[in-house]
Amino acid sequence: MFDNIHGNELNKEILKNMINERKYGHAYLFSGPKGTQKRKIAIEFIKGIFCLSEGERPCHVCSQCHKIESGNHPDFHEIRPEDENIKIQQIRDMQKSMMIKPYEGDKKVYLVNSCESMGVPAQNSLLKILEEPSGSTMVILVANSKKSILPTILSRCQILNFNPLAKASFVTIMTDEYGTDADEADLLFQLTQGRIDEAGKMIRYPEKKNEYRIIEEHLDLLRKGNVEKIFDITKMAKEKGIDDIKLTDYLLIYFRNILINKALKVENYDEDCLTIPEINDIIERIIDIQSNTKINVNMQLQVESLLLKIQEE
Amino acid sequence: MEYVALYRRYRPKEFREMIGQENIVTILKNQIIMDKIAHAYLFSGTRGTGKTSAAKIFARAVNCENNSQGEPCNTCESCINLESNSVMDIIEIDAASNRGVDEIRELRDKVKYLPSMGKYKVYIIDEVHMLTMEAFNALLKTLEEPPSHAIFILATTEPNKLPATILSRCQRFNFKRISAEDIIKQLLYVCKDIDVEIEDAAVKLIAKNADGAMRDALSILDQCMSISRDNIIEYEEVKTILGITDNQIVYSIIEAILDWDVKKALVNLDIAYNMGKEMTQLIDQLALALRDILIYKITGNADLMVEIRDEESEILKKVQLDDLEKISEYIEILADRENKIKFSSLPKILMEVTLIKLCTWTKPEKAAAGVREERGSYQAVKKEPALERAQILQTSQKPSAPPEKAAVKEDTAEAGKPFSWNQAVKEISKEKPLLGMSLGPGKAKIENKKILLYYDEANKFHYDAILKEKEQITKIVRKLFGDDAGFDVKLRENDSEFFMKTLPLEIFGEDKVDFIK
Repeated sequence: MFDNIHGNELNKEILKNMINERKYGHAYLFSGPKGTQKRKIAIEFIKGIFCLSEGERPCHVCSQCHKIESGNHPDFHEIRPEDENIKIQQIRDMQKSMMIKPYEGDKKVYLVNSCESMGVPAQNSLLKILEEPSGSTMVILVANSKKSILPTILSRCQILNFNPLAKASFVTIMTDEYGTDADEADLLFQLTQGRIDEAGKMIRYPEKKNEYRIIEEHLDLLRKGNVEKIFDITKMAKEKGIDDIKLTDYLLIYFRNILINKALKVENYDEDCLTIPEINDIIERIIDIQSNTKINVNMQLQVESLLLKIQEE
Repeated sequence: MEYVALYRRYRPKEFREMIGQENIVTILKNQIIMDKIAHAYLFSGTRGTGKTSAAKIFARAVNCENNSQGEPCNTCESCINLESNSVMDIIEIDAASNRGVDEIRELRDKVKYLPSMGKYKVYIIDEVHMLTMEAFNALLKTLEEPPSHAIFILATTEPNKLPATILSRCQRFNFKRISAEDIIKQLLYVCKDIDVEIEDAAVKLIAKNADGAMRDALSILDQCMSISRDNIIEYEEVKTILGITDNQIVYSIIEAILDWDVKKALVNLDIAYNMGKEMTQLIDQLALALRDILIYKITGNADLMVEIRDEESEILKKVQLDDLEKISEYIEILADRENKIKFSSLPKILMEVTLIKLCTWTKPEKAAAGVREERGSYQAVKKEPALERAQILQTSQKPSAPPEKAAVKEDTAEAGKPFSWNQAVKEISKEKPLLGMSLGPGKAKIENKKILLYYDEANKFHYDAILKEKEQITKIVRKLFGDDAGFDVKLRENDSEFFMKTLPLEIFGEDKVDFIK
């Protein structure tokens, strides 16, 4: 049933078992980093629950499957953050709508996306409905991280952890489906951390991928003492619309590679004059900048001063 | 959906089914038997310890027509009606969703009506910590003197959020965490009841991870049942469900850190990652294991360990007592990074970097010596960019310290070891603490065995102090570095002037700098 979805075999099997045996719990939490196809799997699973087919479910042809696919099944409700967060009012509305009996079959399913964006009041108001939802209602929570979910919610849900793809399987999929060579696949893995969807996007729009290549080149030059490149980097980032986090991510990847080569004493890697503690310092600074973005500092200045520092080292 | 989650199916229906809360249960039962029922209770405690269950049982027991020894009979009309929610005598309020003052006013208005069939009307206000301040205050009067037929039971996981005026009006019962033994007993009972076999080690692992909450334990069991194809729940299955990395991997990583073996650490990290390990969890485990080492080494008590369960473990032997400071430093680094990994879009890369940092942490001195050597040959390239930088600074009119600092570094490198300004400052501070303090804000520059000290306009006070004692300092400097050493102090007139003219000249020498108008 999860034919087009790679990875997370264990979770897929658990869900498959449940659909085959029609043994559903009342509350699930799908947690895992962004881009691990949690929602996609959840939708497939929900289709499997509603599907009318006698054979394999979901069949993708019956009316129920179609309705869920197009998002207008009357017994399937999806909750998304309003503005940035899921508000307590949304949860209250959800509670109210739970009281209504299902229209079509005998069950109702609620899918709550981005649960990590829920505030404490909203999470608390979920507690009672998660514990004993009325009748045949099921709630599926989807969250990027378990850390920001209350322990009292966690203990009420069956938790499925979603992980990005391991490197080996990522590379196989890349070479099999997209025909990329090993080097390319390696870079894509680093950039996407195994999020296959994003990697696919990068292959379709190669500019994204090249962004890193360009920045890498610039940084190489910078390390050789070419100061003007600093301003080239920030200018280019602005022109191309690379957002600040992305840019610092690139920097992080770049220095991580240097650090690893250095630490593992890879041969032919002697052109460098940075020492491990110095690289550690730089990385520390990059991480600091990343956490600073939360408090709205001027990123361009930050990055420039960081690069200046790096150049000096 | 005929399937009901285990923790709902095995929710206790009588007091005797409650686990691990014997003293609370005895008190409640005695109150019912002796007919000394209070009008307001507060049940607090962590999740899954039985607060809501106890409240529900209590509500039924007080209304039961033929209750025996404080237990509800669950067979009389009243019990059955209450259980099926068809009577309005037990009112369960979700305070987290109805947290406003309006809801409480409504409640207050209705409290005065008599119960429809039993003796008491019981209000169970669950998650009461989420009420707003106004709502709490609106509740106060009702809570203090409710009509004789009303009983309030407040349940919450966070009693610290309730105002003191609420706390003082209630009889308070603190539900404690359920001990691992009790959880194991109950799990075995449930497994027998649903005809599932379970390995001993698996039960123990579930109990440990439930963290004193029965609901967690049953949730985990539920999940294990959904992946086990046979009717036996194995240790390995529990481990995959919980996403616990094999302890061996955690040990190996720690071993690698202690051995400064970067490669081993990274290889093990890869294994953990491919097994689907969450990086935040891994970092947690690492910190815990290090904490265990620390505690074991200090106390020698193996019972206090959380992560490492084997007293004979190799790691414990490896650590010497004088490593302890290092280990607390590691824990600090890990704790710091844990926060950042949570928000990072590249958790694995951060983790790698963190491990390398830990692996290389103890060797800064050696590495630093390496830099010095390389620096010498690198300087030629380095000076030019520094010049450009000075020009950039001129145009941007943004004075900052870095250029001088770099200069100091380079010059000390050239002059070799004996000429360390910091050392001189230390010596001077020893003899004249006040003078030492004044030396601090100055920027030192060493050239041909002559020490030049610069002060900003803002630090004129210190400059004056140093100027007065110049002779004295020169003496000390000579004592330290030899008779040909010199000392001078200068006040920097104006920042931009300094950066435009004086500094470039001094760094690069007059012959190399050309000012372009």
